[in-house]
Amino acid sequence: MRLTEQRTFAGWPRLTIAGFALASMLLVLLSLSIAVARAAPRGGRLAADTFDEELVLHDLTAQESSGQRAVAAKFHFTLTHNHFANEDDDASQAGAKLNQMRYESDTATSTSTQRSSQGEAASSDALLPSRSSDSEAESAELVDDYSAFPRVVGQIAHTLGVQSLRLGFTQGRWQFDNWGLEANHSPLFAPSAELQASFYVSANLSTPQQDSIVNQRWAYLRNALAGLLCASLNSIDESITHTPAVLSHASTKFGQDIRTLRGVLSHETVCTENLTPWRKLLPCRSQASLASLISGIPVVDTLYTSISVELSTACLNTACTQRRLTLEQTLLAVIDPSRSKLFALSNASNIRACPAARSSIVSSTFNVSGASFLAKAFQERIVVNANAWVSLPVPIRTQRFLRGSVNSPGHLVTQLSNLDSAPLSVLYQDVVPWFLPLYSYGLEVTTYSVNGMANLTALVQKSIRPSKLRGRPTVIELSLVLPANSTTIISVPCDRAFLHFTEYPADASRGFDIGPATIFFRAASSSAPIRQMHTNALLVSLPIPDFSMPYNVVCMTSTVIALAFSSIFNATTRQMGLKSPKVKKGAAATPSLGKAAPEPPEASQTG
Amino acid sequence: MQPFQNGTNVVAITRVPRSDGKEAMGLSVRLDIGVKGWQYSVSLALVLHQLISQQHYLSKDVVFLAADNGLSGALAFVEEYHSHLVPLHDFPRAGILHVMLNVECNQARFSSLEVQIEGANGLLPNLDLVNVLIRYGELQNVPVRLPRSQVRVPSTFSSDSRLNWLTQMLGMMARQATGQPTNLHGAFLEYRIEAATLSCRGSSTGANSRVIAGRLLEGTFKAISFIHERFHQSFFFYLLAHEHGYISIAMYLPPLGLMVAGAVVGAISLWLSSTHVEHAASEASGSSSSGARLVAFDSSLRGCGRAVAVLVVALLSSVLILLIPSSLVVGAIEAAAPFLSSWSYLVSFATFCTASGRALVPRKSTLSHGCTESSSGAQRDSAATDCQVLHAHCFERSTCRGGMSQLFFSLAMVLAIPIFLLAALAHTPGTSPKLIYRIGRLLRRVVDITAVVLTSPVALLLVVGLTACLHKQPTIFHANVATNEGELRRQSLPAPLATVFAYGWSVATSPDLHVQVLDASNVILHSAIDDWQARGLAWTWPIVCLVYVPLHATLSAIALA
Repeated sequence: MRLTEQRTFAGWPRLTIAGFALASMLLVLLSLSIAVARAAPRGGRLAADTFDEELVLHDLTAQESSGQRAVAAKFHFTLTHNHFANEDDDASQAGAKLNQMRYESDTATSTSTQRSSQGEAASSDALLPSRSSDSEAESAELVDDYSAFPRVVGQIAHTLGVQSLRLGFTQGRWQFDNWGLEANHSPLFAPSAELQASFYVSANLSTPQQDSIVNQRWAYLRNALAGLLCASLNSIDESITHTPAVLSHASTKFGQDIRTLRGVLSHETVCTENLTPWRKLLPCRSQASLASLISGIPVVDTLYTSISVELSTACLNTACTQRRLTLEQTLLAVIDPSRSKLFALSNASNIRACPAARSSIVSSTFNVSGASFLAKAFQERIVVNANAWVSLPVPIRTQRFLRGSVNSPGHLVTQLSNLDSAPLSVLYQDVVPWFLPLYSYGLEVTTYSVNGMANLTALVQKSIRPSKLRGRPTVIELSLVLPANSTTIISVPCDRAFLHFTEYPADASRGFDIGPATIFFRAASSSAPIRQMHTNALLVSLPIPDFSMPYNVVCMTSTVIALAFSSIFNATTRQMGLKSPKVKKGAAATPSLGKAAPEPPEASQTG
Repeated sequence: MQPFQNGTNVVAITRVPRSDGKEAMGLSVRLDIGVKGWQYSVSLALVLHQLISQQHYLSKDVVFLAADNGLSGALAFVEEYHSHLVPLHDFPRAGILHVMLNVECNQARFSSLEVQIEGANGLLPNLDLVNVLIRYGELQNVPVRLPRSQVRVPSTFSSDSRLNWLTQMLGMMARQATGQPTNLHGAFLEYRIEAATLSCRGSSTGANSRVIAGRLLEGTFKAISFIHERFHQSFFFYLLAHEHGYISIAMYLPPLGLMVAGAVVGAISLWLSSTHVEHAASEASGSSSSGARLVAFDSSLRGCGRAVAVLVVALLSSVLILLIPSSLVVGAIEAAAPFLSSWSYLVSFATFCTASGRALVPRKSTLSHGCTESSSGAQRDSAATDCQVLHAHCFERSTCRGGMSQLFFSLAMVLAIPIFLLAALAHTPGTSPKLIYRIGRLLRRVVDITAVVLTSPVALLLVVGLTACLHKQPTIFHANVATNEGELRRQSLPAPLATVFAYGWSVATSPDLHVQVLDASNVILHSAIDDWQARGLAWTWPIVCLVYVPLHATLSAIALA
């Protein structure tokens, strides 16, 4: 009896194990088949989806011995797809779509739900079917069209109606004096992390409605990108987001307004944790293609590293039903050969070309020695091209600092020196968070020529948008004409806000970051393309409560003493005694009837 | 220092490639061309500059400053760096300056390095910076020492003895009390830049070359560069007794707090007792026509003797603890060290409670004395209860609390009137500036000396002791109740004098205070005070109070002169 029981009980685990094994095998088979099915080329569809890669090597300084080398790897995607014109037009639909993505905006949840309910009340019957058809179309597109183009990026762009997107991570300092104004024809990103995005919004909506939609999408976008690239882009909140006036002309295309937002996160440490997800967007990951030259730690060990993702949408027909998405992923690194070899970036042993790449070009402005492995991998694709990299002279030198001693109000000063012998027309754009309140009435622009004369004028036009407490930042935009060989000092008085204690970050004693100012410039009397550069970012010490241990102990002890004092004081000074005879006299005056014994004297508090 | 000096500072900034240029640290040297061996420290700085500019592991820019004219050059640099004025020339900047290290190495070789930390008015850098220098020196096998004190300890004591610690601490107190910065770093400390000076000491044929000093500096820069926040842990107030031992503010502040608390409490008690006695006695004198002179303070030779006894015991015990070989007692004391700081809080709290208890408890003996003296026979009991009722009444009266504000107001007026007069004089046309300057200086001295005298426990105890011993019933505290019968009249007290006496009083009579405390908290306070006398703080208090304050007084007097 006992034995049989044991046998039956022992049989069950074996069965379950076998069942699990079978099920897991099935699962593995299933997933494999799905993967195979996805990896299989889609015939004619591939033409709509291209991928090109390019590597540019450049010697930043003329000397071979101590010259710093720049490496720019550019990965270029295009995707053509059909876009349904009635998508993301309506506020309610955008709200619904965001809800569909199960994302809750941290800033405007209440308004979005309110809005969507209103929208649905107005046109619920009309919207519901179209939404379902949209999601079908979307899912169809998601499955079918993407082969090389990273689907995640496409999905974000599609859902949020992104017209263009610029995201760059930078570590290190670009040495303008030595390395020129731009790297490989593209403007540099602001230090740390910069995100700029333009959205399509229906032109039929009122401005507040548009604002609300754009803010929701912006919030969604930065959260999505933060997750995608493992960066704290989600902390680009309202306090550092602004609309750059110069770039976002109120343009309307195909019944759609384009709204642009920009934010600079000036304390984001860029490291391999950003590089790895960035590489994962490439079709061959880092297993093949030029991306396999880029391995994590050597890239981080360079003098300057910049990783960027740029996305833009173009309409291919007049109704804008067919759009082309262009995605450019760029890695820019400056190597110090005295520390590391040029291709110490790579593990050069087994480099293969990526089959998905339409072209792979390696060009260099100098003779690359020891690059034979590249030639082997990429056959005839290596070109020595002296014009692959154009370095422009830097006509402006900038310096930005905070005047005044540590714990007093001061002045935010930016110094712009025109080194050129021709005047420059400049647009100066400064975004300062609310915790450094600027007194714009005290804005001073002083220009000195080289020989010290101070009676020059540079200011043409100014526009100042003051900050809101715990809200938007101060945005200063100045249009200047810098005279030849002169120095212009822009100085604004500022204060240092005392924050709520919950608003301090964990590293409050480090200080608070103020992003760099951006300068757009070109020669005053020409129609040359507008160049762009950034000043240095700033760290500002705000008054902080002492969060350290001894003062906490002192504060707590004082609190305890303050709380305990009254009770102990009460206990020590109170005296128990007899009731006053005067009171007793009064009591005795009224006859106490019905009591045989005289009442014992009550204890009362008299002390 | 002359008012105006001309000179040329040399500033170089290494922009570290991978940093964002928001933060910086720095190295400064004197550019005293002509002083023997000046080129040694400058060359050390130059070599460090070259080394650091080739590395890119640092995260903070490095500023090199060769300060002309020593301290004034450094001051000029740091003032310009934080100036409110619009710069007319390209002044090099590198974000927030966190740390400046000053090197003074006027010889090729040295035997040990000395850390100088005291800035103007006794400002100190964060202790962590000093610790980094000392610990990193140990790693590099360079002896990094605190400045030797001028007091010579007999050679029979080992260098690690308590007597050495004491002289070390006293030396630091003396340097702080002069108010003069000990070296260039003093200029930076005023702008919240943590700074210290490393000086080469010993013969020029010592065991260590400047390479080792450079290594130490480079390592320190590396350590500082890796710090994410600026030095902010609150080790800004300390007395260094040893390279590895310091006396924190938690140890030396409670006695000072007690001194102040004693003054406040004593003043309250004075005011209350004078009013109460007057109040009670005036009521009492209504029933009995005989005028009574009541003594507010139950001063007696016994209290005076106790105060002296406590003082002597405390002094003796401190001397004993210092002189007993460290192996015997120190072990026990150091084992209790973690408890000492919380202990000191408890003690200050307990003393405050007892002192306030003493001051604010209606003193039964005095009152009953006053009441019984003024009443007789059958009326005695009711008069006694009347006194108590009146007391209760008085505690609730708002006028009872007016005394403190009166006290502070009069104190403020005493200080403010001469300043006000001086200001008025300065605005009178025709007054010579020299006269104003002289009066101002005189006034400052008076204020300084008064402050020193007021804060000196020796002076206070002397005054109190003398008064208590010579006048058994100090006349100024007499409540003259015979003059206005039945009318409440509060006697005004000469405020500063009252403070002095009150302080001395609370100190002198503190040993028997717990006797007066009622049962509720008696046990705790009793044991706390007993233990306090028996243990740890007994040696801290007299040393800090009795040595530091007169030292400060003497040295500031010298500095003033």
